Amino acid sequence: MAEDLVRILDGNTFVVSDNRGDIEASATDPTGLFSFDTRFLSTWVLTVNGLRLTPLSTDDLQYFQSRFFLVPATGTVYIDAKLSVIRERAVGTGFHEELTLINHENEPVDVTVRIDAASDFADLFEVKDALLKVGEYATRVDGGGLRLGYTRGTFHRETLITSSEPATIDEQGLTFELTIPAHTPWTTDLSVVTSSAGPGGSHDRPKYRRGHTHAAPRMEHSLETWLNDAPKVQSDWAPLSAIYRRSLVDLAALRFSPPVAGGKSLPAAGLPWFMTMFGRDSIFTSLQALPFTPDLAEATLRALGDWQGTRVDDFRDEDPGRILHEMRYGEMAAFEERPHSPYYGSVDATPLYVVLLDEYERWTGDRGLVRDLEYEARAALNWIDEYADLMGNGYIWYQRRNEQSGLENQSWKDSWNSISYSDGRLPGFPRATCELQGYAYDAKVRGARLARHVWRDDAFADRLEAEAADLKRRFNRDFWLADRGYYALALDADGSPVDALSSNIGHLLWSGIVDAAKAKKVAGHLLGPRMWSGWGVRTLADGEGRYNPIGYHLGTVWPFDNSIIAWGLRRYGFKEEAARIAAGILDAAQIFEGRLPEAFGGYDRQVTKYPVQYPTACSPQAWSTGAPLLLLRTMLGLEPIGDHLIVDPALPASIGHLELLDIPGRWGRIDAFGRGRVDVDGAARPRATPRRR
Amino acid sequence: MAGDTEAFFARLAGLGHEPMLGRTTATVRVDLANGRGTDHWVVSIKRGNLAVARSGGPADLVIVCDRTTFDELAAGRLNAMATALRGAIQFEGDPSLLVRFQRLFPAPTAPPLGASASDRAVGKRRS
Repeated sequence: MAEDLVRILDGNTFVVSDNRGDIEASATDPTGLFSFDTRFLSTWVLTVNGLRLTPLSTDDLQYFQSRFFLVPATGTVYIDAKLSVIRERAVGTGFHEELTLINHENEPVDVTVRIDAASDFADLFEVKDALLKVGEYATRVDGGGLRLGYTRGTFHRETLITSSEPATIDEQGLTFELTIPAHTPWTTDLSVVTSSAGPGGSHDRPKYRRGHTHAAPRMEHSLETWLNDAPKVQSDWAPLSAIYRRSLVDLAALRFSPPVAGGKSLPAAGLPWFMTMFGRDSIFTSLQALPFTPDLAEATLRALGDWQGTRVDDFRDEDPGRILHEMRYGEMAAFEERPHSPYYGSVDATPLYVVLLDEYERWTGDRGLVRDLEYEARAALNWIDEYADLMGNGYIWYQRRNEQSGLENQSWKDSWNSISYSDGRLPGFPRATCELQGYAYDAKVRGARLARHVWRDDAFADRLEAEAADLKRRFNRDFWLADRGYYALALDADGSPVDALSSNIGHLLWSGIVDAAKAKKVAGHLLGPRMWSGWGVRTLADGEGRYNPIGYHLGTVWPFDNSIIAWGLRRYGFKEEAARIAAGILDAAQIFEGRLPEAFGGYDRQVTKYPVQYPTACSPQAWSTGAPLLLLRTMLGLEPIGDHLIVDPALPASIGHLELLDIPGRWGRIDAFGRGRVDVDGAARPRATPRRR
Repeated sequence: MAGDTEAFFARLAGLGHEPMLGRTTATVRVDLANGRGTDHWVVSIKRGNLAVARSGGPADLVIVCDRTTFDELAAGRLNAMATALRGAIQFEGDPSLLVRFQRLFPAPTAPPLGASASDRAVGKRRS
């Protein structure tokens, strides 16, 4: 059934319905109208003369708008409708629904149109975990509208439903007794508006009304502006343009303006359940999109800076300087049954915050933002040493302090069993995964550059550089498994290296913490038969104790992960290897019609021929959407140096000619060209040792 | 009557410069209903330099709540953002200013509300 669900959204307000436009949610069924993590409608069912309708077609007009063409159910396979029903719905501060019935008969027809409406006001977390409600419901009919309300102490949520045409309203919905003349349409505008104010509090008007939805609503307009402002792709390989456009459109849908961002948009993590600020996801997506839409990075840096931790708060796993993990606005966060107000339990977002700030400046030259965020960047750098080094030995470690509802694994592979030894054992806590040390190294190196050139603090820059060099030296001693030729996935609490071969070592290349002499071995593993599936690099190598090609972080291929690995390979000069990753992931993107899933199966390409999608609730996912963008960067070898953009293409031969036009940056706008020369045909037949030119 | 609220504002006045608000220049007014009337506090922030006054006047952000609630916030017994999500404090004006202003509240000195409500019933999962 899930594939029949229709989802439209605007920021963190979204509607999930069936293909008739109806909502019939149960406690755990994720359909309804949701806003700020609360379900404001759990029942919204249309009947005509007491009968449900049959869908003829559904148009997804825009990501915020859909149209349902329906006919009354006949009970047979034959459809010979005397009546057409059209529901056109647009989301924004609740939703607006234009309901039209068309009488195709030569005579007037009497019909009873009924909309049943109700709300359980479930928190998103309750939908996931099936918890019972604590507060009280109140339903009222007044002022020509139906008010569905929920109150728990000072916490109020209300849904106001009104109709432009007269209706008989009761506590369960709206009824229209109509006589529709021959060959005539009848239309009413239904408005469903959400409010978090107390009883009697005002409701905003719905964002879209009739006329707006047909003409040029602001979002549609801004989508055009968004697409026009982005660089243009031209390529001999036709699918690339389609993949690129899909990424841009999905990224537009993923834009989210939290109340604190001053109207600017940052990328949320995924549609629809993760339309909220996630430190890690927003940062990685902003990094991937920097050459295309640098504004996302600015909004991300400002909003995450405002929310930076300032206190030691065990419930929220908060420390001074720490960048948030996830923000939620629903009842369970409000009553501290969940720690997401916001929750700080990730350890990579904080060093990555500094990485993004530096990378943003290198592309845009916007030193004003680097000066504005000096306090936050210094606090983030300070956090690495003062709060993240739980064992006092110079590494980032993690162990949750909120044992009830905090996250066990606070790195990007955040499922419970993602960090394991080769024999499958799980290490104890605290844990220090390898990529965290790379991020810390990179943050120090980049922080030093910002300190020297923008904050004019040479002493701080010297200190950071010395710490970075020391960290790199120790890391290459303590994490390197000489007999295996790769870096340990993590250090266990007792200091033992957790010896599984994992994609995390690819992130090390990106961060630059890998000794030059070790890089070739690392690249060899990434493109070797245990890790390379033919489509991409697996999260965990085939042959590891917990390897499972459809295990969430245990062998699946993550497009986001691969885009970072390709960037890392380029950093160490492995152009051909980076091109092979780009070719594999873009081939998969083509099969997924331009929209890469969060993850897909790690099966060998030779075996399955098609990438097997991992079932997830969120699509599109922000950092999967960003992956093709970053791969365009790595294929063209784009690198800002001073006020110039260096272009050093290494493209798969299958791509042929590639142009990326109007790349924005401190140079104004610039074009990049490349021609595919890298033979990646061997992609499906992995070589044991990667070739290097 | 001196209390947690007075102590909080006295501490702000004593801070002089607060680097956490170094990029903020704005005025925040706090309106506290005390049962008989409303107390007004104004915190003027000029690139992190704080000045506190007991007065009304226009502001970029107005925080409205009852005196008892603010005492709890000022003493770290309640978390400001969770309290705002519950609707127990209201605000008008720039939300990002609220996020920055709440940095001034102390670290928690009491367990989270949800800790006492952890026996909340779990319904049946659909199979």
